[in-house]
Amino acid sequence: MRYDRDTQLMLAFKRGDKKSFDILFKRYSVLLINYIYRFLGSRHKAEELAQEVLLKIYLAKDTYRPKAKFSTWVYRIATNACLNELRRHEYHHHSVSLDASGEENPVNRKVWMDDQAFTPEQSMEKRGFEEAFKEALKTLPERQKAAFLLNRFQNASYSEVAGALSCSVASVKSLIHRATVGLKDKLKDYII
Amino acid sequence: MKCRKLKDSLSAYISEELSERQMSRMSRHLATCSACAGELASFKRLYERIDAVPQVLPSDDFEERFWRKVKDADAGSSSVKALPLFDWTLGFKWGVSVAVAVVVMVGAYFYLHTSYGDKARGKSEIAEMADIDRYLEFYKNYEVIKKMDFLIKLEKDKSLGDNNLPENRTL
Repeated sequence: MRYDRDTQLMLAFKRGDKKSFDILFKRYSVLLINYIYRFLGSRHKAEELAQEVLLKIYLAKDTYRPKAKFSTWVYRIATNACLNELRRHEYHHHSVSLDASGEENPVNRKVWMDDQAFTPEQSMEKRGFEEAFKEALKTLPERQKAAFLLNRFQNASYSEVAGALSCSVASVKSLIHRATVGLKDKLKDYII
Repeated sequence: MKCRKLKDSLSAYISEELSERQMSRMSRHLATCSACAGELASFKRLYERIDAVPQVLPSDDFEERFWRKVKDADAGSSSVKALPLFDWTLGFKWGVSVAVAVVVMVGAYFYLHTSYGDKARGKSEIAEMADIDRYLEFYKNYEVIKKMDFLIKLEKDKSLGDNNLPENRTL
């Protein structure tokens, strides 16, 4: 069976080649920090969780069995870490599961930050696009956000996102579309 | 309705995640529908701006902190390995193994050496019938022996030509 490059590195690490892990570490550190930072909005927490994910990868060396693309596995761990972090700190009122499908259900919509806490005009005045984008991301439901970030920033294909979120490609298509519409609405003043 | 359905696929169209047939269908539609073409343009502008957001870089001590965590994790697991007798996981596994072995041995003993075992093997009825046969045989022999005196006497009388056989005695 032909494995992707990162899976091969992980298998080499499993066989005792520590340099392979160093390559994976360097490759995924920045990706994970950025993914988690955009997911949670906290730089400090992003580094902390990224280290947890990398540690899980490191400690999984003896038991690792490639079942999917390596990056899919990593982003699944990272997304679960983000969702657990949100639950732990009660950023929102209701629990959300990566495997839950009822995103349209109002009780599963995230309310980490009140949608009405800022207006695009206020954001535009106070902060630049980056801050507005960061705030807009906070208003997205978790699964929409995860799908959007994985696709847009981690260059994950729809099928890879589907693997990371345990859902169908059709669901990913819908999640990304709704995330895009939501962000476009929040950031409309920046994209004229 | 057609626009609505196609608009839902605009993000996938930009990412080229549609099938070849769907891509060409969308292209044809966009060439004739200014509303959808406008929506596509706004999506593209949004993505351009988002893609231009700079990446966050790890802090200087990120790697050092990570390896410290790895060291702690390794130290934790090696201390357990150094004292296997105190490894609760190992202890539990051994305990279960010993318990299973004892149960199997006791079971085997009962199975092989007791009437419970006979019953378990389905042999109790056969054994009981054999015993009954044995008892019946013994009983027959006993009856013959019991009447041996009479038989000897009968034999003696015959040899003496005495036909005075007692009529009320039968074997």
